[in-house]
Amino acid sequence: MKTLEGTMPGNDYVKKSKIKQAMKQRLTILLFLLPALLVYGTYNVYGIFRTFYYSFMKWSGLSPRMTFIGLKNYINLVTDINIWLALKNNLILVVVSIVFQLSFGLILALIVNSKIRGAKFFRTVYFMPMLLSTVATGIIWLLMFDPYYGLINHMFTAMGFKSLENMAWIGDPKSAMPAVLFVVCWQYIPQYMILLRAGLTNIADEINEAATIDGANKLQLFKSITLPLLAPTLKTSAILSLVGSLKYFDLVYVMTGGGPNGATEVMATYMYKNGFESSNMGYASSVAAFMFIVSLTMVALFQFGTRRKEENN
Amino acid sequence: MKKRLLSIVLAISTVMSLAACGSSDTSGNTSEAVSQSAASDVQSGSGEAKHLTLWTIVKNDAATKVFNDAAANFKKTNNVEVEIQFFENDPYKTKLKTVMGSGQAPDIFHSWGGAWLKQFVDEEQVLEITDKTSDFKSQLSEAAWDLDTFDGKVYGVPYILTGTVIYYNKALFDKYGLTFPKTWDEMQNVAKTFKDNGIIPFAMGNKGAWPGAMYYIYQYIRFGGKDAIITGLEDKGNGVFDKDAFINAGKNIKQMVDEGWFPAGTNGINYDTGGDRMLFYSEKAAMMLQTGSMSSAAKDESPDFYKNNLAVAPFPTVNGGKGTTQETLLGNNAFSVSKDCKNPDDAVAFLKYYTTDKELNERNANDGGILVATKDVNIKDPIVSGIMGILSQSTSVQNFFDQGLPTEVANAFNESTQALIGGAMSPEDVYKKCEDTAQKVLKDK
Repeated sequence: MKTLEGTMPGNDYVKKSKIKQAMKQRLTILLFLLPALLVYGTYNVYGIFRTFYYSFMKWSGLSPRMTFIGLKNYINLVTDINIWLALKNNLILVVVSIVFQLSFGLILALIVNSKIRGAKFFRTVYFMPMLLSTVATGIIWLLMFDPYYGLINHMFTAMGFKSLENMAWIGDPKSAMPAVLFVVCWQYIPQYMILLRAGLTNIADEINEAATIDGANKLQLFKSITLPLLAPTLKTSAILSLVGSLKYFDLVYVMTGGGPNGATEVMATYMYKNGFESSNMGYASSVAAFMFIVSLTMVALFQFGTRRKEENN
Repeated sequence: MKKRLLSIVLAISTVMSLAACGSSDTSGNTSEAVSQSAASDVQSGSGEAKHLTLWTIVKNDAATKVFNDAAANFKKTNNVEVEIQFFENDPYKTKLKTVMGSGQAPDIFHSWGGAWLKQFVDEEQVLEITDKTSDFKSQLSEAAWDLDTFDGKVYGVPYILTGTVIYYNKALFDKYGLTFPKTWDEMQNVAKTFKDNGIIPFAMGNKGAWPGAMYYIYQYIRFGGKDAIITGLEDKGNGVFDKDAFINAGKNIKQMVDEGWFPAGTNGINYDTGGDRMLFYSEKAAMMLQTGSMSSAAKDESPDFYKNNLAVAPFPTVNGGKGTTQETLLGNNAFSVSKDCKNPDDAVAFLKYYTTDKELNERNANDGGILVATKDVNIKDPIVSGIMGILSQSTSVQNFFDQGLPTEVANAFNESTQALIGGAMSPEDVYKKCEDTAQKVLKDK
């Protein structure tokens, strides 16, 4: 701004008033942002810094008493097999979420966006899982998976799969993770359906019409018009899914609590266990810090990777 | 225009003045009422009713009523208001730890005594009440007081005994011509008969890992006898745990797992939401090892079953074991007063009233199916008196490992027994993991 002022002395008065205006605007913007910034700053940013601070402490969380122990929590963390198993489960969750949630979300979005009869009805029905509270979802599915009374086993035995009569979906370490993953997808696909449908409605009809006139068929339309124009929405959805999966907690906690024997343990449930069940808040904070670092790195890598691609295009 | 404005202003000011009068009136009235009742009821210095908060996990209907009546009576006699909040078992543990850490603990809080209470005592969050409780100490179970006393200092008032016994469906036993076994060898035949008839011998919901741990602890004390009982973390020369008893116990549990004595997917069934009790009430399972909480739950959830089918028995003795049925797995529920409580004397006075009043505790026992810690209570309920009978025979008491041992050891024990039941660990592995963890904690101390 200053250089501008210097090079164009004749316009001094106009420039000054413009600067004034800009400053005023900035102040207004700042004022409007301030409440949100305060809330976000206190409960998120400050919280993150406190977590890092606590992670250097030996602290039970039962009283304000704590002692500084340096990096000991982190040394314990890297040698703790459980955190790596939890991270592995988180990564499985990331992959499954992005692959299944986005693709099924997209398919459903295309269905409810097409001009089939009853599209509105399907939109409402498909959206329903999103409206249930997570705890209710978890308990409903627990009952469905019940080895003795559950709907799922009854359904399978009725279909002739006698070996699944008393299959313990949640109780068996081998099937617990797939069962939980299934329910997570069931709950979150509607969210991506809505997001992607919003993206679809943003694609102007004219483009599609023009392509149709040029003789493109449905598949070509999807490949060359819908998908590229939907890319920003897909990218946002993927980031949401990525971060959500890395810090995922609620359904796992409700359905399995991380068990049996850590088969479904994710980083957040492991953090919870350490903080609130074993009264080791300092160590739990280091787990939280680790989660933060992992999430930040993954998102940064993802952003970097997708940006390069965009530039290439 | 001006006139209209004036009338609006007038109207508003009238409304506001009326409201002001109203509020000042009512506040005047209430303070008068309070000071009157205070003057007539007790000679307390301040006019305001004092206020106490109490947190508990008791949630059966009859017991909730007893709590509320006790609070109402106490308000009448002492002019102290006791606000009671009821919680679910597992969420309660988290909630209490959170409020403790942030210095907003309730005045009176529920605990399980033992190491669980000790962690709060170590953090100086609990008030010592040795002298305050001495005048009614003799009226409650000694075994229970021991669990809330550390180095001779009392930190909790016991109100429920969590005596652990086997609950069984006597109608099913009659149907197949069986009697409840006295020894583990006889139990083999019982379990086989049930299995042959498509009935699960033991309904166990081991999602929380503590139910399976109880089967393990009982096997352990039946093998090791009273000498193997663990009251705190100490190495008796050859380890914290009795190795032979520990491994033999594990072998019996493993056999139960291998032969299908537990429901499929037991590690995924939750006791809190009643998955195991559902199997038991619906006669898909015949027996259940559980704490006293089971009787009050059953009385509430399935009254007919409680009346017609339910019976209790001590855990059988094992072949080659040193133990008898006189060693019992017993914990307690206690109320402690938090350090920040402003009226500790009133808090203890309420606890004294709640735990020693005969009428309240008879209702708890007979209507609620609760094992009260109060002595000399006239118990008519057959299940409660049955459990009391078993407890009264016992000469030594083993507390639950996850309440009597430091958290790290408790977790190691619960996790490894769950792994044993899930088939991921052998009895030897379980022993090694528990003993190693115990030694590590001892060394760090």
